Amino acid sequence: MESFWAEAAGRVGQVVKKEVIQILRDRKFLVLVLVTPVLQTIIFGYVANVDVTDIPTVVCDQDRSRASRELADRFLQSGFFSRAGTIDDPREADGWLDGGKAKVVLVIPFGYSKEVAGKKTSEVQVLVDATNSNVAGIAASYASAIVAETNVDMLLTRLQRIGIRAQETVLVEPETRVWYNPELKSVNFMVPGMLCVILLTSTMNLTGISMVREKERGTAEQLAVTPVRSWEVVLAKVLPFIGIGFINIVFILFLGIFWFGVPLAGSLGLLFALSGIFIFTSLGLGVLISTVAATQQQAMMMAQFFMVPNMLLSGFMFPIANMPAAVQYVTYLVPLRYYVEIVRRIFMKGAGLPELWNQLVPLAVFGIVAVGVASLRFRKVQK
Amino acid sequence: MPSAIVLKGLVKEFSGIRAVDGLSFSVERGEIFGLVGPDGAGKTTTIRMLVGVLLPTSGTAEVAGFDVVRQPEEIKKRIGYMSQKFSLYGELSVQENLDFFADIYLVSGREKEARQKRLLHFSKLGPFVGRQARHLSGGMKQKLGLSCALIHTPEILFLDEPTTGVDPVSRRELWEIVYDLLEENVTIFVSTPYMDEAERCSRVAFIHKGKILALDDPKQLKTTSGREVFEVKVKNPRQWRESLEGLPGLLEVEIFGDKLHLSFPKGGMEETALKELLARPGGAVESIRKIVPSLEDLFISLVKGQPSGG
Repeated sequence: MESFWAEAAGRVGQVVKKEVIQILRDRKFLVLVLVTPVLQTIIFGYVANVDVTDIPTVVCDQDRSRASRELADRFLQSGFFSRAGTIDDPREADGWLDGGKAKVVLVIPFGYSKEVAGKKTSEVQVLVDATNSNVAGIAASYASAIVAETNVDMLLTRLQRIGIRAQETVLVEPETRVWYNPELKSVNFMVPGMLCVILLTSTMNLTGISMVREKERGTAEQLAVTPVRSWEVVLAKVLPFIGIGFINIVFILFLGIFWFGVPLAGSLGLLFALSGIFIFTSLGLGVLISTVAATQQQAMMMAQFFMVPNMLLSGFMFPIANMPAAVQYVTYLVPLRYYVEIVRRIFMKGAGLPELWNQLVPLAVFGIVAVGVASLRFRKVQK
Repeated sequence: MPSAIVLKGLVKEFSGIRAVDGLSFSVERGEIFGLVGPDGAGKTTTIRMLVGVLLPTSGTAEVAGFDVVRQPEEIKKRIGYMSQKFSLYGELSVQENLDFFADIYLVSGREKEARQKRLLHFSKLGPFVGRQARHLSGGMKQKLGLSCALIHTPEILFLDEPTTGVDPVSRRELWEIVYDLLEENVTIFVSTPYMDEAERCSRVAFIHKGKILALDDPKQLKTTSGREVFEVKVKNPRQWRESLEGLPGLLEVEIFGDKLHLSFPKGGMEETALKELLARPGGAVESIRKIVPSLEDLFISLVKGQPSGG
């Protein structure tokens, strides 16, 4: 029995050694593996900024009163809107919006101050460019909030005038505290997500391709006539890519924490340990792909086919809570979902193992199933 | 000692088509056995079943006394296999490839060293040990492939078209290595589409459309072929071929350069009678002589004798 394992370990070691030599001699592959994730992280860190601030805004103040100026100032000093220009005629608004020079036009009509003082309802118009519905929605809700605040202030002033002091008025005021990401910086949210996606790409795609390459070149058959067992080959092909996966994690973490200043609330050790489980799952999927694909192109296409639902349904970019109920159930079939959740919780909430079990178990089950099916399918003998 | 390889009714079907159609024969220890036939005859499929990488549809085969379906791992320790396609690691050097296969077969220490030294000497690859395999010439690649297949001193060596696409010099060198192996009592099972290589085997099996057409030692095959071949030298062989059709008992005519090969059933034609028959149309025959049929003549006649489309 001892010699059985010693022999197996010896053979696995030889195949790993061969694999590492091959990777090191293939310069293009090496660059692809090590440099791409770094570039992707940098680009994503800058590009994937969904924070909405300084929305270019054109002010059309037809009233030209103290009250109207106050309202405009409330908009411009909020930090969400910044003045892109001033117009006199609301009809000029089209030109600004069409040309993309402004995203929002604030129109304060004639008689605003009179209507407000005369206890009538006045209508302030906010035109929003909704080409990007996300930004438009956020801009519209900021605008509503500012107008609502103005209303409350006016109401309080009036009450004061008739002798009721502000302290005596009963109002519900929400006191929102932002937890886990107090600065509301999207990079804090995107970089951990990016880590997950890059790791899936580098491990699943590369193992798939590397395994299929052996098939294409006929070396898989040459190995098949040697005493190497199938599981020894699978294990040996996978080990170097676990290493590559961890190298990628180190690079991305370094960039995220030191370059983009993303705070890591949780334990680095836990992050590495659980990433190991994800890498195992992802490699299993890669091997599975390789047992189906006959050529490297096919393997690439299949990996791509698998990547898209992983990106869309993992919650990496689009919040799962916003998806239709039926689609939310589908997301449970996407392994990346669990890992994204794990990484974000560790990064942002400082979650420990007790809070992560419910994500970890399904992820591990996926991995075991993928590796199991792949090993069964990866046979040395063909039918 | 039992036979090295025994096939009994071995069949392989690919989606209903019989690539190998009921092969039964045995290969004795220490012989060099040739499986000879054109592309698509079923040679590679047969070898892949024997080395245990392809499951037979039906029938059985034993290699080195072990069943190919039930005990493939026992077989793999005792055989060497070189596939038709170069299938070593191109990024690895000659030495690294040799080391890799030695280690995979758990050949180590002094034995590994001695074996490698000998194989490098055999293959004349000594000066190229540091070169990456992908940068070797076709012939050198093939010799490296053979060396890797021999690193663990196999009892039986399977060579699938080892000389296809190899230059004549390397081809000769490969065969020299193969003959040296025979002296070490290695059994060799080789497939080839070339008739001149078939002549180098101790026994050959002609395979066509998955079936064995004939099996014997090459000399025996030629003498018991049941036919007589005359070589006729003429001025204009193409014109002659047409005019010869309808000659009594003629099985076939093949053109070889400026000569015609005329085949008759054994005893179906005498040299003198043929001379008289051919003298009539104009006296342009330069010479007629009876020859031993080549393996190519024989193979073609066997193929033609097969029911068409079968």
